[in-house]
Amino acid sequence: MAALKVLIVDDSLVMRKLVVKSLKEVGFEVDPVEASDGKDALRKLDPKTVNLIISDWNMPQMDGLSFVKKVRENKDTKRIPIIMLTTEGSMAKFEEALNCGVDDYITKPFTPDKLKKKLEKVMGKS
Amino acid sequence: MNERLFQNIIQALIHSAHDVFQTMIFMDIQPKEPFDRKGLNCLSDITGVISLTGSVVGSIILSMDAQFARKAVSNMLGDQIESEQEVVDGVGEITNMVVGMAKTELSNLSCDFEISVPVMIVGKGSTIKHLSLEGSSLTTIPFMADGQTIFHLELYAKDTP
Repeated sequence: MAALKVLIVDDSLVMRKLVVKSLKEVGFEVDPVEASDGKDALRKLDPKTVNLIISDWNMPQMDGLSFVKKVRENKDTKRIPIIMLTTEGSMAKFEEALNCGVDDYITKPFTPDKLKKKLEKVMGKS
Repeated sequence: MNERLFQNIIQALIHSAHDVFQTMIFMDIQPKEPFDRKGLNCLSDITGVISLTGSVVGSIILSMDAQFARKAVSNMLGDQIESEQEVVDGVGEITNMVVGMAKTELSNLSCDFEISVPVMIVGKGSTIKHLSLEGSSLTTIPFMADGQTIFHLELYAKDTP
């Protein structure tokens, strides 16, 4: 099976590293592309290769929600599954993210198993 | 500041710090009795600062020494630390998770505010002066593991009219 090409968007390099480690720990073969905010992610998002996006919400320059809106507006990227991984855990924020086109939502702190379940759910949908 | 609200924030921070350390750093921590302090704080080696705006204004500060910061970030990654930048970045992310999780708990109590991305301060003995919060009291919550104080959280806050 080909490695999963995941675009991981987070201003924390430790969190990006932790997401890759967690995915590998629960059995995914991962080929990560890392971006430090929404603007950086838009530059690195190749619709031909990226299978999944995991994005933080609060980031400098372009936040996660603005990034998700841009991805959904583009006909080439609008179907790529997106999981938001954030400290924003209120129901209001959760609904706001879903309304903007996020497929699923994980709050930090998280466990690798929780990430695996969400990932299987959104990849199964796509 | 409304005493009940202030206590709610302290309790939310204690819960969230415990959960973050247990889930991400695999460490069981215990809070010590919070205490109030007048005047300036005195920070340890690596410090994350997050500002609060909305129904509460102020800041939450998480500060730890460099040796413990290395251990905490290394536990989180399950790996050797590759650079000092990783340690500082990791403490920032720990600060972010602790404050973000407390924010979620407080939103269930109808206390809503926004948080900034963490600003990091590296260097022991620095102080932070909150000009807009002149006269507010500073509360410190020390946390322990294995009988030693390992980091502390500080809360500067006042409610908005």
